[in-house]
Amino acid sequence: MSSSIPLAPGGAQEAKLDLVVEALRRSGKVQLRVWGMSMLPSLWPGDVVTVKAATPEDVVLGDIGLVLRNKRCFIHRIVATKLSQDGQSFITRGDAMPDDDPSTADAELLGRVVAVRRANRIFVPGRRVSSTDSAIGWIACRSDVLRSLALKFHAVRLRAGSILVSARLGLFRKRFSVFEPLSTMTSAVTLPGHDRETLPIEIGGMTIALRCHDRLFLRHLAGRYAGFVGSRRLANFEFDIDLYEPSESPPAGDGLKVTVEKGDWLLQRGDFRARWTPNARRGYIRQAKNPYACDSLLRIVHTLILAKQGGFLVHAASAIRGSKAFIFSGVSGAGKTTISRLAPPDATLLTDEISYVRREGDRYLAFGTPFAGELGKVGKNQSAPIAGFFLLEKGSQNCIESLKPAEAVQRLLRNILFFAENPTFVELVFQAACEFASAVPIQRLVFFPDQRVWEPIC
Amino acid sequence: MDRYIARGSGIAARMLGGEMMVMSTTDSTFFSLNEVATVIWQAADGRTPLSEIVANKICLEFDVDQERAQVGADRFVDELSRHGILLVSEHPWISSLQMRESR
Repeated sequence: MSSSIPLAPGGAQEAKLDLVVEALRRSGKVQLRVWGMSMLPSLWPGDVVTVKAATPEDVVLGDIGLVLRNKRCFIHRIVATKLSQDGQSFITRGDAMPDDDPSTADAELLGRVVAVRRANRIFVPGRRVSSTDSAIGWIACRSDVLRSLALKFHAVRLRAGSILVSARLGLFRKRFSVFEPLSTMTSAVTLPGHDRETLPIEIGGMTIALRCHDRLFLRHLAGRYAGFVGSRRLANFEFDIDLYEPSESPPAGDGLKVTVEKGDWLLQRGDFRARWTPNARRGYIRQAKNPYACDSLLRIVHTLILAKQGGFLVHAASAIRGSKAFIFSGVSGAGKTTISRLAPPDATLLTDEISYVRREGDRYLAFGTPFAGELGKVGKNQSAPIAGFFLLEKGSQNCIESLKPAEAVQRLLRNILFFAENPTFVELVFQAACEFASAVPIQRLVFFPDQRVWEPIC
Repeated sequence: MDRYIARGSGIAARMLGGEMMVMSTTDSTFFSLNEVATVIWQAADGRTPLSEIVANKICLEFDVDQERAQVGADRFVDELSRHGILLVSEHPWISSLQMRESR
């Protein structure tokens, strides 16, 4: 009893195996029909699974993997991973099986199941097995009579167009409002019937691939992030996006909350909820069908990554002139857009709203960002070493004043994007601000809004 | 009754350009300490009474009378303890822990 590919004995079996391996190698994906019952009730006989090529490093606990063992293919769940000198290894088990699969030297992970087609529905298999499903699996595994009954019931429900599991998913979708506790969120949602398109967004030299079924939405994002579309091959992280209509958005409770739970970052706001697992390099966001949630997601993820590297995102305009970057920071109304408009023609604008500061050795680089302010213009995707950081204040004349270190750090901290209510993260940002202030001159720039403001800067 | 002060756990502190900066990592409150406050902060070992810190360090280093220095030190300690940055006890800090454990 196993969820294996229906393979004929003898040479035909080996030929089919070769076909599967070859198809995965060539196209990265293959569709297989489930034959056995070891994955009940997550997978039923007759289900068609889409398998994406994967290595042990690509899977996380709870993924359903396609494993080649003893010249047979098995579709079982990854229940443990182990890091050894030989690399990452894994242990699998069928959801309906009492024990882990035997560990054999020749076991090879070919891929992971990314979608399941059952009757006229396609869905992503969840990584968690509920207690109800475990109980069904346990019963199915031990009782031929009950298993037979379950299969008949399943067949009847399929014919009726409303199968047991899709009914459960339907209920899940209905329950899944943004008010649901975030910790229960999984990627188990129904899909419209085609694979996700990918849009890799590269900011600060780091690429986050956004994956969504809605091509029009991704096309809209591609326009919004023009100049920052990178290479999928170089993606550091992947985020699956599921959309809901903005009309489903709750009327209140739109404050942003960023917390950490067992190594995962949980992000929620009125219009989106996301879970990011940095170790798995993957994340999931359920969001309203607008680009603002993606903006926030990208900003938060970059902020969390940068903090560990001694960098940050900061409310600031920035520009490159003479191979040096200059940053102009201030709250809304301080003059970020004004100073960007007044930039001389030979200056390259990186952003008029959110500047990207990354530490590289003992120097700091400023990168362009697609996050535009009132200027409404996406910055250039370029970078340069930071030569000056100015805190903006409007005045009647142009002058630059030095600041004491404590005031510089305090005012810098006020403008750094700060999302997480997490002491470790707060300390990282504090130390990053101190390090930055000791390496880059932070000065007050009192300016009168005309083009002469750039003269004393560079 | 004398008071003993120790640095809290949820804090980040850094000396930069001769200025001590302290931040609570729980409520993100930021303090920059002047020279006198920095001396108290650095002496907050949980074992030395605050009055002794004032007498032996503040009064000697800054040429100020003890009564005035004690008032300033008490005010500073009260402010930072409200944010959990300094912990205050009527007993030496290690002894307090031992007393709790022995109960």
